[in-house]
Amino acid sequence: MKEKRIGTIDDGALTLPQMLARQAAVLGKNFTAIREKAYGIWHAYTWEEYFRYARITTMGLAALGLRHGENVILILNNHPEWLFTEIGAQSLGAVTMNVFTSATPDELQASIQRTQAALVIVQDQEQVDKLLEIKNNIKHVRKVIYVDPTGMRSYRDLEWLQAYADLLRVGEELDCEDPGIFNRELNKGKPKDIALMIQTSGTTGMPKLAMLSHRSMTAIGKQWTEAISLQAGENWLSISPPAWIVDQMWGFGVSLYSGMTMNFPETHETVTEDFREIGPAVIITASRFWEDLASKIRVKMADAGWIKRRLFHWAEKTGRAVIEKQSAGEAADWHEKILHRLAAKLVYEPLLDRIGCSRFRNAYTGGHPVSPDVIRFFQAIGMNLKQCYGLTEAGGIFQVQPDQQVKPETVGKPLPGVEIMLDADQEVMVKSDSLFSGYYRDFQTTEKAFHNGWLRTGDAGYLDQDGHLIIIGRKEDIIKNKSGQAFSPDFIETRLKFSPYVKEEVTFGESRPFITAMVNIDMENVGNWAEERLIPFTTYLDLSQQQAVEDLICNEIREINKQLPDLMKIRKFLLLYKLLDADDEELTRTGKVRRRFIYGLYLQLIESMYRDMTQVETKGKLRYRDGRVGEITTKVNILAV
Amino acid sequence: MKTYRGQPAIFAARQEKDRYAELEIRELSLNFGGVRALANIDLKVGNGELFAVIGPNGAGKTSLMNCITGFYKPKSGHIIFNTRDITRMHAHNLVKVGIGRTFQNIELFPGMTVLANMILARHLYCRYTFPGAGLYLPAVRREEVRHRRLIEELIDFLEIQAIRNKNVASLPYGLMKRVELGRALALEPRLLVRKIWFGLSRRSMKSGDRPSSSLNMTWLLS
Repeated sequence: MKEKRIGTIDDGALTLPQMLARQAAVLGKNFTAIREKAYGIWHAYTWEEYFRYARITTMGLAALGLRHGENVILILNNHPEWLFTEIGAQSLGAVTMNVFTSATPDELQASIQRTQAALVIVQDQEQVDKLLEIKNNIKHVRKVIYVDPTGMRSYRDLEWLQAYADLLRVGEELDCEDPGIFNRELNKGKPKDIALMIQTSGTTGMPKLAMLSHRSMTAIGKQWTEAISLQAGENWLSISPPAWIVDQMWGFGVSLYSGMTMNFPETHETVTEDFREIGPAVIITASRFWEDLASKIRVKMADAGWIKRRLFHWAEKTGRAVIEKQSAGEAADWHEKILHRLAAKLVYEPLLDRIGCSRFRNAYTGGHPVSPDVIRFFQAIGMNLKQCYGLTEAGGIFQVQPDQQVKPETVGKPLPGVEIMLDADQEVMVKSDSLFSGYYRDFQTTEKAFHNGWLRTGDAGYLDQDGHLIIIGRKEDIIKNKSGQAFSPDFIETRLKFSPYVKEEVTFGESRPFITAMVNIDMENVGNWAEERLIPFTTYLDLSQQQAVEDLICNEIREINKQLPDLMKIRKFLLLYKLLDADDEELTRTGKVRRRFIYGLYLQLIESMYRDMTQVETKGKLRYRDGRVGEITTKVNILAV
Repeated sequence: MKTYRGQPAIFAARQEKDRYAELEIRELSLNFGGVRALANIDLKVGNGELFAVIGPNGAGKTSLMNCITGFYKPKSGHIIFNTRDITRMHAHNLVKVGIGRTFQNIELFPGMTVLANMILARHLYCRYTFPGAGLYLPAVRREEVRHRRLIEELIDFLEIQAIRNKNVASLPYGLMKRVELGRALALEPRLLVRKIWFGLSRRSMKSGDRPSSSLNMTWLLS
């Protein structure tokens, strides 16, 4: 497909559905807007087809009486229907909010009640079942529209439900009757109107609903398109959940502005394969994705034959040496350059191709700060992995590391059109066209979030000599120990998580004499490690309490302690008997640790680490997938490093 | 798009007369030397029914299934399928009559992929000739695409997309069962004789449940 740079559209004056109409006119049949893998092959939709679907979806929703200013909840996976329904609702001036498909019925009820949603659009039977469970508490929902009809035969008599295929049919009929309605509704939209809401991840307390206008989304689209010169027809693989800002920003802001193609994988399990087939040009995912990938590569390499293993270590070392010189601003020696090129041919390129990363122009990691070691690792093997930083309230990601300026510790510079500033408390503040319009029905918090037109990010940071921003951590998370010295738990945790054997880790030490940690082992990697050494184990609980595993983790912590200043060294730790889980509210749905909640939940264990104890008996709760709560009684060892 | 999914076309598009199935067994007996495995069994499975045969180990459930599907030849009695006596028919001919089955011990080709195992079942419906296939004529190509599509719909229905290119030997038991069911379904049987092993978890029982309720077929479970 030919590629063509799209001239800047009269940005800022259009709503998202109007942008789509514009792209359909400009790019029409010549470019692919959406690609989806179904029944084993990729199906493509041009911009014209995308617009057509959006149009009849709009009409179908209009037939259900959806009006300007009403709210629509979407509980969808990454499929084209997500784009069609969201933009369809926005065309009528309704406000959309995506919820995670993994949400429990109670969480759904809270979101739906809070927004007083008129319609709910869901993926499949699983979600319908959850809604039927809470039906009596959400009477304001007029209709539930389900996308996937699989297994829905026995639900046919329920009038509350409607299939999306039927909605399209009704929409088409209405559009034939009166084709003027759509254009009238489309033209009514103003860029300042609220387009969508996003639940902020809520590491502290109840999630807030950030309202983003059409203007915010188009502004972020423009900033990205210009910053890394995105072209129409370049590929984006939609893998992060639609309830998260990243895919909202890309699917509506960036893709509509630049004409990039949105690609949807077949299922969640086939992502790796689909990823390889598409070879996306840009990717932004959570730090956990890269951490997992790095540890997977390392573990696979440790299992490889002698020759491959040696070759890999040599290539990684060569890469690191060159990257280090580059980031210090020096030129590499001629022999290093030759070795580096040789390593690329022999190791990096085949490896990157194997994991589907050979066509990346840019790869970003966001969400939780990633260990600088992970970034160095990927750069050493020739992938342009960079950190970026942003938040929902700012319309998405606004701070990225520029090319050629490799600095693993920083989150780089602002995108064009974005300004940042630090206040007296070192809090990072940002100003841009893409800032959010406020929290839904929460004037007080909205007031607090702004300061003279600047948005307070809540993160503490500082600028280095080149103007790169370095984030220390959440301002409220920076803790002081007993003697009043400040430290950031994030800082310690991200370093420890680079160990392939550590899945998750929480450190404590507020007003305490020393730092302690609660560790989740990585079941897959530690399991393999144990198997190799013929250590028998059954469950996670069993494996985590094995003497050999304790020694293994203890050594890992010792290694990390060497890199940390005295103040931040971990003195004692324990291996938790269960994995921290979003279902137990210990993690947010985006995978961030809810530190204070965990502190309250495991207070007994944490207290024991500050006493002279080596073992503690404890009772814990486990929530199963079906919502039942089980109890677990076990002994946990407390280990000194 | 997910919107247009639901029942695989292989079943949704079938006419009532093409899926009619009625099984009758009259005084069926089977001996292994001196051991009497089946003694005067009478049963009737009506069209569209889900009929289960249960009993303790050694009760003769599998022997009965094997008689119906032509693996064992009964000593006496009759098996009548859609008014036709099939007692002495061979297994490969029974498939053409419309009886499909799964096995207790999985009978797949372990060295082949999931896709290859499933598409093999469509062999029965291939209309092209050997020379035509050798030249890969447009008509052959069209037919191959049609079969592949039908298989892909079953893959989607059974939610095994992630393993379609994996070797069967590398799969866990539960998934192999699903693949085997997929292969049996690809035969487009009127009657599916299915061996269920009740040592399965509740979840796999549940996922095994779904096909029975949403496909237009007659089921005999044991």
